[in-house]
Amino acid sequence: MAAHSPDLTTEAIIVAPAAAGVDRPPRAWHRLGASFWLSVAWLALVTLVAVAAPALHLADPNLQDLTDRGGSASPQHLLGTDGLGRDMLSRLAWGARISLTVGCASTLLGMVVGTLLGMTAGYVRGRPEGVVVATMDALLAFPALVLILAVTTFIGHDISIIVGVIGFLGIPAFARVARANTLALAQREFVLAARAMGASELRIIGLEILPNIVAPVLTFGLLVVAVAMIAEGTLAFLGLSVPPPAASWGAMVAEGRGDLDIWPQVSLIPATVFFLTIFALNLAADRLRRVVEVRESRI
Amino acid sequence: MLTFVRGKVLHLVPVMFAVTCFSFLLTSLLPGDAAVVMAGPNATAESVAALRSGLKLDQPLPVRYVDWLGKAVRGDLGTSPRSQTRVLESIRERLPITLELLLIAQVMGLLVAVPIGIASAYRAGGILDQAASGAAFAVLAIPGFVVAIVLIYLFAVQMDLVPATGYTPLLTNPLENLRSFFLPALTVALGEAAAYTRLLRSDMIATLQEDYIAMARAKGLPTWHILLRHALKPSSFTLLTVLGINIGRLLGGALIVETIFALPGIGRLLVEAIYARDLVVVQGVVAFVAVAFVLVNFGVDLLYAVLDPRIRHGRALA
Amino acid sequence: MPPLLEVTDLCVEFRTERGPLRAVDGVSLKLEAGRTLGIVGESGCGKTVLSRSLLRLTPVTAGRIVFDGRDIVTMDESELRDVRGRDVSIVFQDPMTSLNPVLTIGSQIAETLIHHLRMSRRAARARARELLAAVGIPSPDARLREYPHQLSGGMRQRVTIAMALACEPRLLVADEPTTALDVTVQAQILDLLKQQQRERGMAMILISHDLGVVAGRTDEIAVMYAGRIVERAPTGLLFRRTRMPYTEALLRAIPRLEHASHTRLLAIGGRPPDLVDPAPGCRFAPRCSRVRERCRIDEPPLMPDGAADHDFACWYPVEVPDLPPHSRGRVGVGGT
Repeated sequence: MAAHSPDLTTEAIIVAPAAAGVDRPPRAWHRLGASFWLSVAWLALVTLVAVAAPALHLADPNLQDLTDRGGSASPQHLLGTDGLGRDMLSRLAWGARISLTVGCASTLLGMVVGTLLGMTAGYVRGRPEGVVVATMDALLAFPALVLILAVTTFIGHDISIIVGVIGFLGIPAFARVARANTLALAQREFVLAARAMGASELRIIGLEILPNIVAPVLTFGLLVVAVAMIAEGTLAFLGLSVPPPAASWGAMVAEGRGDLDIWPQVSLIPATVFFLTIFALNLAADRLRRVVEVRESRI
Repeated sequence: MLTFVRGKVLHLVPVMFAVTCFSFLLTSLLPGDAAVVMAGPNATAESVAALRSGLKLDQPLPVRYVDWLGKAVRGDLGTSPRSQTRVLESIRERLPITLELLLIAQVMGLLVAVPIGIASAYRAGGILDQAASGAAFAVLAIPGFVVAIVLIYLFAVQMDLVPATGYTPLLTNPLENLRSFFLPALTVALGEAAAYTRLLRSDMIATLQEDYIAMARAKGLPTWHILLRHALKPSSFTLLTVLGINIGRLLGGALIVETIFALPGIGRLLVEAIYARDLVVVQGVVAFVAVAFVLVNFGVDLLYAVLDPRIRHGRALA
Repeated sequence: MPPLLEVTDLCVEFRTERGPLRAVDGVSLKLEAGRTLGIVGESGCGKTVLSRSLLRLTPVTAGRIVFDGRDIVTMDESELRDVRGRDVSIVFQDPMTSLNPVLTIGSQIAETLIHHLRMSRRAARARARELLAAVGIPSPDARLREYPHQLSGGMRQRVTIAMALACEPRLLVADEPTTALDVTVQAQILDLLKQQQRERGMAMILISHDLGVVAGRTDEIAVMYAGRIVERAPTGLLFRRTRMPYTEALLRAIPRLEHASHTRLLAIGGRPPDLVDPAPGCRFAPRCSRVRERCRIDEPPLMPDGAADHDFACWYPVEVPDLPPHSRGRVGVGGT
């Protein structure tokens, strides 16, 4: 993880307030604020570029031009070139594909498994809950980056392995959030009412609890995407992510590292893009969380 | 107090067990033959076989675990087949460097976080508070390696104040030693400072609402006295807890910083071992780091109890 | 001799979501040196806000609080800090929350001595020990090093009183000093306050929701309702010639030993008024048993009762001789 890796445990606690009621007052969207929409705009842009990269007429990201190394912005190279003369903009776009894929896929994995585990633990209680909580705690005691490093080195650098291990590490955090919210919800009247009407437990979990924890879980998910992207970026920086020539943003930063004194922008441009994306994710998550919380207090 | 400690210790034992089990499994559940992996791509069949029997890799898993655990408890974490040094020795050599890094980083972080946290809480919602919150938020969004790169660019390249990488031992040249730790510690410290400022601020804001603060004001005490003597102590518990936990966590997590800045600490030892596929070292170091983390957490819990007189005397927190 | 404390038209307003809330609405008081004023009222009448605003612990919206010739409302910070804790002290209701849980008793008493009187640490400690002994705490030496949670409720309140008395204040404000304590301890604390007051010649303001607490321990009583003073008189006179129906209702609501058991408690029906948007007319009108037309239209001002030193705010006050004997007269001392 980054030297100061956003601690998933503290983040989990912050987002954990019980989910909002089912009714959604339309005014909520206004409370999100300009910063939220700006963040969303940036994220949408990045996602769009990443998804459409093959279709956009970008330069070949792997085409080297040793006559124009570390070149500044020009009509052919809108963001200049890197240390081997490759087009920065194009590399950023293709790099986005890796960074975002890993970020989103691993989060999805952690979210699905973690939420299921957490919901079950929070609803069923008793021994199963104890086991789940203990396992999650033991998992959290592990230095995450070490785990990722070890697994990718020993098993392989395939993108699916990276997604798998980062996702796996996200499970405890999601389990916590899901469990905390489920615990709060399970006491509410509408759950009791459903049970009184003879609904099966599975039905209750699926139709009563699940829709109500979707909001906080998804909001938390945004934070996790950020953390996952940082994890992948760190791996890439160490040269342990998907092998070259495919380069995620982290690898791009690493590539420019040796030449900071000659052409610093080769490292700093992807670093900035990376930072903006993480910042946007955090900001969006923060704004969403406030709206979710406020709704909850109106009940 | 004693019951409290006993309870914590009882909780500790199974966790340690689980954690060591986990780290052992980590390296032992790899696909393919561990001996082959460790020997590397150029090994001959004989060397692989020798490695396998030397490390007893042909034994069943539980036997190997018990064997390893038994040795580990006695301080024998094995010997690296690569460097022929004992794992524990390597750890002992490298640990002080990692600790120095962490200590300097935490001190730097606190030096920034405490005054800003107090000031932000005192005038919550004011300009300083908003600026500090925004800055903290932004800093927490920057990945560690990006911070490192930017700092290297600013301090080493542009201003040429400190070396970009490299390490000088403390006893050789204390000044150079501190200079070589400046950037790596700062990289870690920025993130810590941001997190601590937020923590302290929110705790302080809550404390400042308490009746005993109103009473302190009613006694006509000066503001600085109220903030430092009445408000800081009760607000610092969470901070101290997190600080302790961070030290434990960073033992394993500072490896990025150590790698970037070429500091020969534990994290770097691990990265090197992973690159070299030295499973024995990886296993030993991972177990060490995980156990250390659990122990540090335990220590923090105890410290918390010592600091908060309410827990010390066994009463429930008000 | 000008009064030690003179409050004129004090207003304390809070901003709320629904608009400004006037917790204290035009309160005027006078207190001579060495005398005791009791302020009585139900929860939410504004008495706590009033007590806190006397030291500007709550910002004052309008009015004057003149203590010893200086206006607390307009003083600057440093002058105010001199007054607080030294000339005027306050004792809060709940000693568990008003003492800092992570500091020793000794240090909390000593700090006022060190800051206000510039005592050395050792001298302050010695003085703190004396104070603890003076308020009746056994083994004061040991107590100095202890923490608040190690003491019982009654002890803690004694400590708070010791803290308040440390710099020999001229005025002590005691805000519901016994409400959070056991009944058996209440009388002791009230007696302690009275004793200290007599010994030191302090003025005191005793605030309570309980008429029994202030009877017999105060020279004068002011009754508060909905942010205003609705009746004020020397203590004996208040009980003998109650004029305001609210005060009368308060008196009637006190259960008595001499009544048969299971006698119905005469609670005052209804709820306190909304202070954000008060209705026109007398604020007590909705709950008053003597209400008439005029009460709902015109708000009665505080008027003197003839030549006596007795003010009340009512259009149709209680006529003195007609009250049945059980609803007034001497109330039991020492808390309910």
